[in-house]
Amino acid sequence: MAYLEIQSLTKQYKNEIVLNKVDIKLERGETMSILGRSGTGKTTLLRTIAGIVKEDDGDIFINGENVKEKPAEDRPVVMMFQKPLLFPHMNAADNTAYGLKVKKVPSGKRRQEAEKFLEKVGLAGFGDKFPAECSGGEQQRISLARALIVKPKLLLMDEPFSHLDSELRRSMRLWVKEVLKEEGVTALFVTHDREEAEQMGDKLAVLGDGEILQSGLAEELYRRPAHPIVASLASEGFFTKEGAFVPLAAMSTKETTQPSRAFRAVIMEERQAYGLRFYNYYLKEEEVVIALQDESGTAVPGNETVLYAPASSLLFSEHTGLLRAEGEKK
Amino acid sequence: MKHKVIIGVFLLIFSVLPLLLLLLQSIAPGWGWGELFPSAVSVQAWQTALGDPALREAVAVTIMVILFVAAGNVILGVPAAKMLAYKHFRGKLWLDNLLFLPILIPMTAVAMGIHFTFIRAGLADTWLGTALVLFIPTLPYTIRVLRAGFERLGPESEEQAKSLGSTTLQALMFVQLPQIMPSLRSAVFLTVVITAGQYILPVIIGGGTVPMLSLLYFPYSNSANEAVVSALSLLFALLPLVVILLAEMVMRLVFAAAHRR
Repeated sequence: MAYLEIQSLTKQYKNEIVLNKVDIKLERGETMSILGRSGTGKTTLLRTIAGIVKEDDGDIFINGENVKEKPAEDRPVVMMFQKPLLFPHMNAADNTAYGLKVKKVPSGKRRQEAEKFLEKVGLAGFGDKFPAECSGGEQQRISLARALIVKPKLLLMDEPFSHLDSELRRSMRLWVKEVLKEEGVTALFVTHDREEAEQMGDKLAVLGDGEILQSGLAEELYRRPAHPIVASLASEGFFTKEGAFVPLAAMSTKETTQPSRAFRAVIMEERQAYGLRFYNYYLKEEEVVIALQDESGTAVPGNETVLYAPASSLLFSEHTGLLRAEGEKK
Repeated sequence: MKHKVIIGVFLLIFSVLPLLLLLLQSIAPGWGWGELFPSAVSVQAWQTALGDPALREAVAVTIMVILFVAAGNVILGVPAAKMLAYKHFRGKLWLDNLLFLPILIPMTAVAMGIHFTFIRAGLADTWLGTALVLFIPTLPYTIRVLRAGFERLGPESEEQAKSLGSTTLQALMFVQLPQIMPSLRSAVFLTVVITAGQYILPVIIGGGTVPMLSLLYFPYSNSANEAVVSALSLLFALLPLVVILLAEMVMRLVFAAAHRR
């Protein structure tokens, strides 16, 4: 049995299935990034594992022990939320040592441990500062120290860098990953940012509509996406609504005399998302001279077909070329 | 700056000046209409008032009842407010409105209705019965004020504390209550002021045998000695302030002790 084994975890709110038989396996000391769009159940997954939300079905094994019946406070799990959620009436040392305080560790020992962990997160001498006196990055570091001090068997991180500016976010990722490895912490890291997911996780899982659509090494998901959502989130390429997908890596251009289809792409709109520049394209099949063949191989004269796609469904990345396109023939 | 001046003027006119006048009247027994300054200054009125054993007993009983009601309001109000702030359940709106009904129904009707129950339970004509009935006009306000505090705080603080190993009580004591202290103070302040000013409920449930200050105040106010009435009025006005200070001290001590552990 793996160190963390989540089996058929299911959660439903009224008629909406938020988690549908989620299975996750993770070895000790590994970090798995869970990538998914907003509203796909990422946060609910972490809250269920943490015991904040009660699951409807399924099991959560940590180091061979099923923790599903335990209340949140008794699970060997700590969750870091999107916001640092430091307690404003406590200084950094008291915040850091909070988990020890509730376990009734003597105050002298608590302070000593807090100083040690604050030093680990690069905040030596910050013990007497209050959260209001710390920057966003410093607050998130204190939050990490507070999580690590209780030596959790599993650390759950719910987009902990989403409130930081992009530069700080990048440096925090590398640094947090280093700290997690140093401490040998097993962690689940949730994000909607592909770059962040790839950087933080030893493994990558894509969550879509409450299900783990695919999990494995980032490279595997990139090369062989098993689902259009995986393709759109963890890979690059071209796919249509019918589900046909061509990874960008497998696409190439060549001159041919064979009957082919040609498209003209017209930029309709440009926008920024996930740190990338996207273009919405209108793809029009060219009325080219090259004849098309139908399924039987008979040449089809001319070309009236236009691949029409709503602007919102065609996305193009400046860095990577064509990222994804959804469309329907009209 | 302009706002501060306006607030200062209002405080002066409606708080400081009336109290100052009462103080002057209480120490100037012969100060009559038309005289710019009192002709004589004396603390006799204070000696008369404080020398009255009935008054001393009333002050002690009133402080005891107020502290009991304030403590009970916090103990009962906190979980109720927290539930109303964070839990979603069928009939929540009804329950919310139901909690305000005791305030909307005239106190006399409430007191008469509850009087028979208290007689049967042996609580009528006791200080405990009087204190318990005073939850009716206070608890709805306490719940509402604390609920607003919990709603402002949000459930995340408790979730974070629990994720770090806190029990529900630890999360409440160490994390949530210290963060909603302004609401807690307001709730205690309202409870103290409302309790101190109640007349009908202590009269009916206490049956005249539970000597609260408000009950004693009215016979005194009919007295011809204005200085004594002023002294008593001042005492009546200051008593809630003293109790609030006491309550604040208790709360600070409790949280400080919890923090040190």
